[in-house]
Amino acid sequence: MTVDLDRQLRDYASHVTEVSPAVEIEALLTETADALPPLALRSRPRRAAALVAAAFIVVVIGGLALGYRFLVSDIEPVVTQPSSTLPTPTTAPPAPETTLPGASTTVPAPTTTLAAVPPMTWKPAPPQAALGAGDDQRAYMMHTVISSEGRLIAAGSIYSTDESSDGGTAAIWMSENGVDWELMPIEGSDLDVDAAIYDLAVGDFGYLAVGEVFDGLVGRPAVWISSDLVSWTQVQSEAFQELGAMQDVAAGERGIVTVGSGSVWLSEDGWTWQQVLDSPSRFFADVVATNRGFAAAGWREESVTGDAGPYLDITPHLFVSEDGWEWENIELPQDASWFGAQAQSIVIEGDDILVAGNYRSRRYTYFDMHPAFWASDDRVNWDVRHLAPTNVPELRDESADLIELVATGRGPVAVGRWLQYGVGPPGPQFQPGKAIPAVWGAPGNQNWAEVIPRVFGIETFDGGRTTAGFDGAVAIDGKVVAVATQEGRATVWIGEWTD
Amino acid sequence: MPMLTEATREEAFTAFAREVEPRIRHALIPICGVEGAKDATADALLYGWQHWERLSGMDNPAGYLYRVGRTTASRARRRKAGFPSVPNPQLPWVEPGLPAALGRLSPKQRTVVWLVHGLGWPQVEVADLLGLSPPTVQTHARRGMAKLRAHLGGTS
Repeated sequence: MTVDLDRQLRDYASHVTEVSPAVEIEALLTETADALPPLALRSRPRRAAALVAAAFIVVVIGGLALGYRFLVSDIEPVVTQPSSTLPTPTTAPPAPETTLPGASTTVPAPTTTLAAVPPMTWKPAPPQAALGAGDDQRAYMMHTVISSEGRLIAAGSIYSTDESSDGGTAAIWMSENGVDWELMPIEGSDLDVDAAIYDLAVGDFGYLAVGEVFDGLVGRPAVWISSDLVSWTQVQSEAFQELGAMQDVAAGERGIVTVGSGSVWLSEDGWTWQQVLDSPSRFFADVVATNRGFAAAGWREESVTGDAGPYLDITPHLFVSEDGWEWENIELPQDASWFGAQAQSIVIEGDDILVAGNYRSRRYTYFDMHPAFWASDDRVNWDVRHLAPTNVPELRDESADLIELVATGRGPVAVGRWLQYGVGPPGPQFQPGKAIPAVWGAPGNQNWAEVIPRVFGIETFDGGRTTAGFDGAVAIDGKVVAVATQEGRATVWIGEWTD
Repeated sequence: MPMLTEATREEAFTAFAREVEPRIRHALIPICGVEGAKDATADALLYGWQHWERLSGMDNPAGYLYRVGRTTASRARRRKAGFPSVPNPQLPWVEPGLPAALGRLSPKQRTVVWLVHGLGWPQVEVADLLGLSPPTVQTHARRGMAKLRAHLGGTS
């Protein structure tokens, strides 16, 4: 018997809705009695392209974060045993949480934002086809940039802006000088799927890209390897089955570590992977390889009941590991004026550790985030600095979002954006969010300040995956090259010192 | 807006939530599966409760909460999205490959086909909830059904 498709769909849908469990409204309201005030699910925008897919939801996500945390509070950390190809952990099973003795603050010293420091000029690479110029059908998103053998390699994604078309592809760019870019022909390789690359690494394995493969609105973590930047092979692993994304990668003598939100994956050679951590309370934003193993910047979240009710306590953290398996928590100190902070990026040179992130200036909001910096040479004593809340005239309720920290030889430079979150209901009443790319610097590691004037333009979220603002940066040949996605085009800005 | 007592506020929200909960949950099934749809709907309603004063003034609060749920579903680590298998004894005339074929549609096509052809929602109502224009809904429905037929080997 052949039954028409409409009838099949109706009957099947009827069955599915019958077995679909309903939300118990009364229980939900009881639950909210314990719920926390709205707070954003903070994540590095480059790591969450889908987050900006509906810019208005940026506001919404804040409100959801807490509810979601309650709903998933029963998630247990995933701890998997090492494969035979990986070094045996010193103790098994891995991933116990240990917190080192409290760190101390030595110099809380807020600075101003109005000085023209660092003395740099920034110019954009000219519009060109490789970056999306002239292509009105697709959006070009550049999420990260690294240097290798004197060349710049950038990565991200390209997707169709045609509503009726599905998906896009990951993208790799290469440049000899930062000005002229080539879009690598990855058609037919494993990168030619609806995916995004958020970070790159180079090593004995060749080139390694990490990110996510989209499956509709959700994504799954993914790793690709190439020897020539053109032919890419996606690594298949049972460790990549959960929803999520790999947001950062570090390769060192002790292996390769990738991180994404609360997850950590480890590999010896890039081809065999184990998920060593899936924490609901720890968030890894940036990971680097060190001469002692690995270090990551991030934060921890914990619900706390204060005098005015419950709230989400966010504490900035440095996570360190000698072998990639066991991670120690080092809580970074906070200034007395802060209400939580997130460490977003880390640079280590020898014993010197520099961490950048954002602190919250009011407890019950997520709008007021401002730049914060930590420096130490022993992991115990920290020089903590922050910038006072800044008025950005072009924005309402501006919030800073430092993304990437770069050591330049002329002092560190941090790139990111100023954000104004979208508000209102979908439709004509919605007031879209806006963003301004931003750069901060600290010549001699002292006196952090923003580059003024801001020359990078301002952008309204377009409702697509576009993220306005710098997503990555690298220092090369005495310059800083920062990448962004602006107006649906990959953009590259080159900063040079003027003194 | 006049100040509401806590009891009045709860009554108003509860009535609203009971009305929209099935619609939001059913519309989220194609995105995050049966169990995930419940979680995402709960997230959305929780947000709605926390922001009821603003939400209650909106023209289309259900559509707003649907987008809330959809976004949390995409951000959160939901269970693997997917349609349940066809219960053979009860629905022997339904192609066993239908759930998989639905899963191969794009999210928008899947959702539109599900709501329009599966649940029989008027296209205007689907457009309202999804924030699309009715012609766009029609386009997604037509293309989605064509793909579905192709996936099912020409079943009409």
